[in-house]
Amino acid sequence: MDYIDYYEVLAVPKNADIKEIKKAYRRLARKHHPDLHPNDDNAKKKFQQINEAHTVLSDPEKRAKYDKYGKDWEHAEAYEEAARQQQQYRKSQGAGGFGRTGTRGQYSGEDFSEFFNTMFGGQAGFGGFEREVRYKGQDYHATLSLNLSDVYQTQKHTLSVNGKSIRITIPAGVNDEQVIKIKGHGGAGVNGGPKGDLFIKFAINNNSSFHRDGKDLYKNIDLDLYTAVLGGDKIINTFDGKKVKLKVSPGTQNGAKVKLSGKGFPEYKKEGTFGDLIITFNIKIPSTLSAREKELFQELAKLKGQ
Amino acid sequence: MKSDKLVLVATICDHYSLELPFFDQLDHHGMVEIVQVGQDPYIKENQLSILEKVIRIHHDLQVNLDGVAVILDLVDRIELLQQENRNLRRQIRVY
Repeated sequence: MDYIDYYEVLAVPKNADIKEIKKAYRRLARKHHPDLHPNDDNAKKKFQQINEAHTVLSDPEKRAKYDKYGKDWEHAEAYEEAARQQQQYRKSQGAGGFGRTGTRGQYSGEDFSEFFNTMFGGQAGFGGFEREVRYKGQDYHATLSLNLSDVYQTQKHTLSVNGKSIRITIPAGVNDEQVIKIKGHGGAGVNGGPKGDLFIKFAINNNSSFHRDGKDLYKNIDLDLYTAVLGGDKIINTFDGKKVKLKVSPGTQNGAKVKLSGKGFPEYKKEGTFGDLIITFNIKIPSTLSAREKELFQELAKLKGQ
Repeated sequence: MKSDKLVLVATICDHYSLELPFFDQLDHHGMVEIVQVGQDPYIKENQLSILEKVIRIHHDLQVNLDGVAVILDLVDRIELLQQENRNLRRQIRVY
């Protein structure tokens, strides 16, 4: 293992400032960058040296250590141990070690010289990018068609996605076009990366006589003229099939609305919470009258002075 | 072998600290093809190597994307010429 003179590699004097070092690095990198020299192993080796020299000399801390210990690298074991401990501390503080860190991930020391690895413990790889980049797998998107009555209660469904069966829980009150994410059920990751996610979009078909708006339900109810005028009781079927007796006030007008609190649709992910059921009365006027009925209506009209 | 695996652009952006418009520019220059799946842009897995090459040249040499496009084009031509050169050398040896 030979000592490498990084100043010589970049062809800069020992007292070169950071501007000179960067300038020299750019000039040499343009000349020897392996992406510009296809199938040229010498260019790759040369660029690795330049990159290594730049990594050390452009970092004041590393440069100071190199200047102090570089030539005496055989005695640097004690220093290396201290540096390792320091690096451990930095990691625990959330900062990186030498070179590029953080989201850029894992680096291989193999692209740097043995000298560098002994001195600095093996750091950033060639060009600063890891070779085995891990990517999340592809997200899958699917549409699940259900009837409105299916989503009145929480229920489990078994789906088949790419040949695999997935059992999912669909909470009551899920909305039309709502999308839910099933984590980790998408495509396989690349280079050991995490799996993608499965996104399910709901297409809710209203198979009922109710109109739904979020957690509230709406229904039009026919009401005979006599009950509307005189008042009375009306039996209403709610969405869950139960019957509710509704008091109709005398003189109820066509289009009048009545709210039945808590008789609407379940609220999404709020177990036991329901919206309201809003009833709109549609008063039916008799279209055919018997002779007696006609006579009575005429009598009523006379009473009202018409 | 042709690979049809797709990689989410958002994941790549996150990994390399890139912005989404960078990919629009790559697409515009014809360097990387963006595949739209639903509302999410993806690139094909087999284009990752070219993407990394673009990023390396862009970052290491501080060349703008127009310059990178020219460089990639010239490098392709160098490779073709190298191949042609090798073939010609082989033919000379035969004679």
